[in-house]
Amino acid sequence: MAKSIYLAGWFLVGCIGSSIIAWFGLLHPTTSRLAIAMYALLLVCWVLCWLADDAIIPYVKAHQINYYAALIGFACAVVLGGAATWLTF
Amino acid sequence: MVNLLSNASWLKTNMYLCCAICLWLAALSPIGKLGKGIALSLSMCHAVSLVKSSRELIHQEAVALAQQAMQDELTQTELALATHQQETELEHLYGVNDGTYPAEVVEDLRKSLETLVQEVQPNSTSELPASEQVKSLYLAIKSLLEAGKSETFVIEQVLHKKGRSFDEGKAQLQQLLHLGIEQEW
Repeated sequence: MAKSIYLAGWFLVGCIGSSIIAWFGLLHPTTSRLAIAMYALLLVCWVLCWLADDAIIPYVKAHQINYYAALIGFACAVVLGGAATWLTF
Repeated sequence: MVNLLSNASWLKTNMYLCCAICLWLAALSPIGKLGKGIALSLSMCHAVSLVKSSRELIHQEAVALAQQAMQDELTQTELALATHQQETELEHLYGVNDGTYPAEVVEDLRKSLETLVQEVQPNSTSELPASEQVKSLYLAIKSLLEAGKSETFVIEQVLHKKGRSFDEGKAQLQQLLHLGIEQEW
């Protein structure tokens, strides 16, 4: 139970973080570029994590399946947080 | 005390979870740009606290599990020790391990054997002794031998075969022992 709350907490951190970036980008047209750049940076990092999985997995000492689940969960959290904020702004 | 601490940690964690979700949902509602910013910031603070708190909770759960396992182990060891102590006391009480009887018991055995021999001997001169009496004699001699007495003691003190008739007594003893083993008394 504690472990599931811990994972839900990290998912919430991802959602809220993405919402903050989206909120910051929607404040003014000049800040939107910065927000898009941050999202692009996140996307590049995410793709790099997929490509360099064999090098990163021993470093983070996680199981392969858990690593991929974390990447997918991170993508879902970012998309959910960003889309929800963008749609409701 | 541990349970109280654990309950408090659970309550705190659930509070952080509820606050983080509610504030994030509030930030999605139409409350203005500033309101959204404040709600998102507070929500982020609660989410970070939630992660920290749940990490502590995982640690506490692991410690509680380990303590429970150690408690079970201690209980089993205590039980085993108590059983061993009782067994030792019983062995000491009944003298299972020392292999000898007290002097009074040995004396009683000797007397009963003498009585048995006196009862058997008149019969043995004429006919074979009654099987029950022979059996009793065999069992008594066996007990005496198991009590640590030598064959010489049995021959001289019980069968009363001293001096010249010692060999005869020895043969009688061997015959009796052989008979007892054969009959599986």
